[in-house]
Amino acid sequence: MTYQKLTRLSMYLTLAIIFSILESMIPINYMIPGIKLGCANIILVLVLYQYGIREALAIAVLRVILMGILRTGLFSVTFFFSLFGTLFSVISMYLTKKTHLSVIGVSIVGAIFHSIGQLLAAMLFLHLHMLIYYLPWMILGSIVTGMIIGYLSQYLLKQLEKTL
Amino acid sequence: MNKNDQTLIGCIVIICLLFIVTLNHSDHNVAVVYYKNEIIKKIDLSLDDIKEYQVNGENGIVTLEVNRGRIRVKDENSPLHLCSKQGYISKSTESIVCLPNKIVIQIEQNNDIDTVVK
Amino acid sequence: MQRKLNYVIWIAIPILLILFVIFYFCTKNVENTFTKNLFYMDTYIYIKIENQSKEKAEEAFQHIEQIYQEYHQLADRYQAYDGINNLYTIHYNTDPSETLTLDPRLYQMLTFGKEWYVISNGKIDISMGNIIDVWKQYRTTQTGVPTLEELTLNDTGSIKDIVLLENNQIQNTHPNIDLGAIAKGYATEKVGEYLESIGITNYIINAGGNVKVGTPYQKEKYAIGIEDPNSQSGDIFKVVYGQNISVVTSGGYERYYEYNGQKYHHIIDPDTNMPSNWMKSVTIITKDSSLGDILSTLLFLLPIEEGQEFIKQFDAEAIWYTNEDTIITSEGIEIYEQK
Repeated sequence: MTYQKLTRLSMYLTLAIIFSILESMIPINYMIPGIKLGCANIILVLVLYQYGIREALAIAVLRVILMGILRTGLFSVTFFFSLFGTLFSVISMYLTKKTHLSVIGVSIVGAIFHSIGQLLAAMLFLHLHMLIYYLPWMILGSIVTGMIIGYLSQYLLKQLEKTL
Repeated sequence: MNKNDQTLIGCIVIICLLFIVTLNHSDHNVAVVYYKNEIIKKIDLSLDDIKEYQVNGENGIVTLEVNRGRIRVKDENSPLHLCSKQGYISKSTESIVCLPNKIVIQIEQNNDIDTVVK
Repeated sequence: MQRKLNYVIWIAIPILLILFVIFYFCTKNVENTFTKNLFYMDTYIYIKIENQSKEKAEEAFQHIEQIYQEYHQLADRYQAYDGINNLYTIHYNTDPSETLTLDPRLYQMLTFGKEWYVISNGKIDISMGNIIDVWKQYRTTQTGVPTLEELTLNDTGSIKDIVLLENNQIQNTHPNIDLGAIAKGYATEKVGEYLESIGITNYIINAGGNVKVGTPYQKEKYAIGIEDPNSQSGDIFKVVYGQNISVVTSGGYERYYEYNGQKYHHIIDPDTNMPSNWMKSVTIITKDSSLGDILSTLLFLLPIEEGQEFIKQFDAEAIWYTNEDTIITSEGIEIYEQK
């Protein structure tokens, strides 16, 4: 691993954590506690496109662990929500990246699977089986957030290609 | 955004909407039985697993069957047996009309009240 | 371009569809609300548990059935059961010994009943089993109304005959005890306590006139409708909202018989030995179901003005449905009127 790569990935990790903290400071009620917008997904999309699945997974897991230490507490329920969400998100984005979807489409799929992962965690750990009824609504919401994140990522990728 | 993305979004939205429609679950519904526009019975569909009720219609006894949140006319005396052939209803928009027996069953949503003390 | 599009559609869409179908069938089987119907103490008992696993709910239902069954047997006045002393054996036993040892739960209920004889100035009288029996006989046969002589003749029970001793013992004086105003509320309270003790807080227990609720799932308060005593079809005249409360109604409209156009119901005033007719129904809202049960019976036996005065000393609210079909509420009822 080059120093350049190490430095960039560390920067990305820092940014991901800053995004997560900023997001947790915006008091919006998302109907279900612990289930969030997923701003840190921008970083994951960037890492996935610039490096690959291994780096993206590393950033994702490290972010969840660091967020756990900083905010929610390690191995708390919220911790597992995030972990399931990001893992689902990264893996699904990696798989869809191989198709002919653009960054926006990949980001939407990532957002949808982020929701599905969190929902599965909620159903597993809290026995809130009725949450399944929220799934269609959450997926509709994910399309919107995924699109926003997708456009941002697309723009950033273009800019970064020029400068780096 | 390219055409692939748009197709994907379109398909997901359609599937989601389909699901929102089908998952419209019927909790706490009450079947209201009318005879000649008068309420003769109210049956809480969330209470019993399987239970039968009998009401008096124009041509004799009409047997209703409640089965896990749904209700149907099981047996009645009429020329065409239209309402017993209709089968179960469970959604608040549905109703069974037994014209020969002058019996109407309508489902009302009772989301406001959890239980009744008597 | 066209080819690429097809590629996406034929791969992604079927996968999503399959996923949704799986989820759909999951939801068909996934349920987190469980209900149970029981029949004890002459009433249908309906229990609903929300937000629990099936195993835990089933286990709770089994235990709840056991609680109701045991209280039902202890308070049964018409039948003996193996191995326990209940109200029937207290009355009819042929045991020559001077004292009987009771189940602590029955002993507690009797103590509670005797305490309330004092608090209520004799209006709550658990020793009037004989009078209750006379009325019950007329109610089931519907042949008429007991005469004053018949009632006075049978008015032989006295609270003094119920002598409770140390160590759950009672003096064997064969009193004919009736716990109609106590047992149901007592058992319901115990079921609530049991559910809380195993961590189930989202529940509704509806034992006829006795409703006890915990905290609702995914909303702030349970809404409890109170049935209109005049309605044939179960209409509701008022809704109260709350969590962790008991709502208990006493009224003459559930168990009664008609003779010569006059209705005779089952709540008997110990002073007159006749059914009490001050109102059509009274509903008590309070924390404790056993308190609610006994207060509702007592307030049904008191004129409304006296009841209004009496209820002030308790942390409880009341709703009277008068004979003139008006509704009177106690002063602090507002907290239960907000959604």
